[in-house]
Amino acid sequence: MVELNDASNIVLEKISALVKNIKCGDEDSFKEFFYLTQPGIYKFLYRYLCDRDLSNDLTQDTFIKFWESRENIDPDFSPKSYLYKIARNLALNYINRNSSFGKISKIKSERLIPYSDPEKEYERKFILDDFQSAVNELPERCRATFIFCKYEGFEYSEVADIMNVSLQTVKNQMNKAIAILKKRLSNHLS
Amino acid sequence: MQNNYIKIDSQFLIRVIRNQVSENEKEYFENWLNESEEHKEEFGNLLLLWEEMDKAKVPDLPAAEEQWAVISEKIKNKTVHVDTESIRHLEYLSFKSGKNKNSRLSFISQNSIWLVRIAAILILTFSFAYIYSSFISNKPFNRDNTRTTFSSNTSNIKYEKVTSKGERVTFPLSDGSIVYLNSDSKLIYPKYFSNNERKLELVGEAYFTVKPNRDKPFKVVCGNMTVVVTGTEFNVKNRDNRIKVVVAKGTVRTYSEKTPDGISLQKGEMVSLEKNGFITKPVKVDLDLYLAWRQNKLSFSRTPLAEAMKEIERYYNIDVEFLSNENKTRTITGIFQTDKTSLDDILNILSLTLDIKINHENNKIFVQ
Repeated sequence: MVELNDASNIVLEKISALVKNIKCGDEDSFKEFFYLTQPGIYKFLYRYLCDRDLSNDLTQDTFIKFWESRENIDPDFSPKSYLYKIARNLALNYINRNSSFGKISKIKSERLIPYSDPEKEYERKFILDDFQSAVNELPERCRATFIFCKYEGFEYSEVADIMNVSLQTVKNQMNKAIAILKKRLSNHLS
Repeated sequence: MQNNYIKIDSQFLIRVIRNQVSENEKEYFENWLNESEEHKEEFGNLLLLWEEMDKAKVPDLPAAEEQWAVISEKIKNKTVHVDTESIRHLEYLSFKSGKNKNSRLSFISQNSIWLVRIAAILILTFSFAYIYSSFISNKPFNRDNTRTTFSSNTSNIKYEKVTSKGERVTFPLSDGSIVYLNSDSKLIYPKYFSNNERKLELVGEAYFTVKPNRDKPFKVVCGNMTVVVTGTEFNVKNRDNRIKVVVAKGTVRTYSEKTPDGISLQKGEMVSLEKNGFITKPVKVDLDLYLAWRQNKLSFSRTPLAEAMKEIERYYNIDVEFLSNENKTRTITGIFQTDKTSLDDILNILSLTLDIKINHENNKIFVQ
């Protein structure tokens, strides 16, 4: 985590330089920006949704949306946070539109039925492990908060910006997430 | 030292774990930690959870190139219809491996949009006729440049992608599937697929990474054979009236007029369309040999020299002439790494292996 701090500062500077060009419609900069930030966005979406294809699609949508709204990007607001904001909103919209989605038990049981179809069987290789499902079972806001902090390395204040909530809310959600996870994973944490 | 303002909560402890605290804060934290066993336990538990949660892995990151191809296509589609921009980005995707300086994508200016539309419809009409006749007459496919022709009618737009000899191109389709089109090949595909199927036409060779969609089967029509999948990866080679399908991932079903019930094949298997119109039974093949072209390799597996030289002809955009028939049927096996081995080295190896004379003069190869 230590070396990550210095590195991430360089990355952030790079990103803000790229975004200035992107605002002017420079596609090459956008491409570079994409290569720099795509792994993070995909990983966030995967942890948040636990669905490969969906995360793949929404990653693409996130960048398309970012490009479309490039003129409105506030340079004073971290572009990286803005990108994650888009990703989370798209994922949230998806969950809201598909009310059956997010019920992990349903997804899980579906995935456990052996498929005769080799393609489905291939997908099945990605059954969630205990840690993934523990994250996935967190309530939506808890989950997003925890993923942002734990896996994307954001500070509490940045998470508050991305999720449009107060710092206190982030603290509460984080404490809640930690408590739930401790209980859920107690057999792993002895 | 005024450290009373520091509140020991999850936010602070996570900063400790991330080593984002100042020396003062660190000292303050250590004092706090040593204050009680409860504090030690609280921090210990958090640290353990934090580290254990690293075990939640994200499987296979999607290939950034492929995603970028889709995004790049989409941001173009939203802003432009047919103009230089979309050409530029297609060109961008064009593999640099081809040494062919001529290779470019045709360019249509926006001013002459109406003329272009009419012309495009004509080109498309003729090209269908051309493909048809090339099947019938066994004429080799021949084009100078890579072209993408846009044909617009009221309902849909069709793209026609043509690669010249020595050039390979990769590009996405509207559904997110990716096509790798080999040299001297042609693919006709719609801008948007219809509601019930994803249908394309291929002459030459292409590798498809098909985005799974159960409701919209993906169909590749090559001459008398149709390949149907719902989501998988496979290679189709349709050269000189010989069609071969190889599967790299998942399952593929192939149909022909004489084999209406279809033949299924799985990963690592190949079928071909026989001259009598029947599809052969699947046979196990060495995938590397059939997919090598995607990695700048030329691969041959008991390939007759005549056929191998045709590959080389296509790959390097060069003419090959056999001075006699006697060596045409001799076979060779092996993979050439074209980015590490020059054409002349390849010819030398062939010449030494088969003990024949091969001369390379100007833009022509003469085989004994």
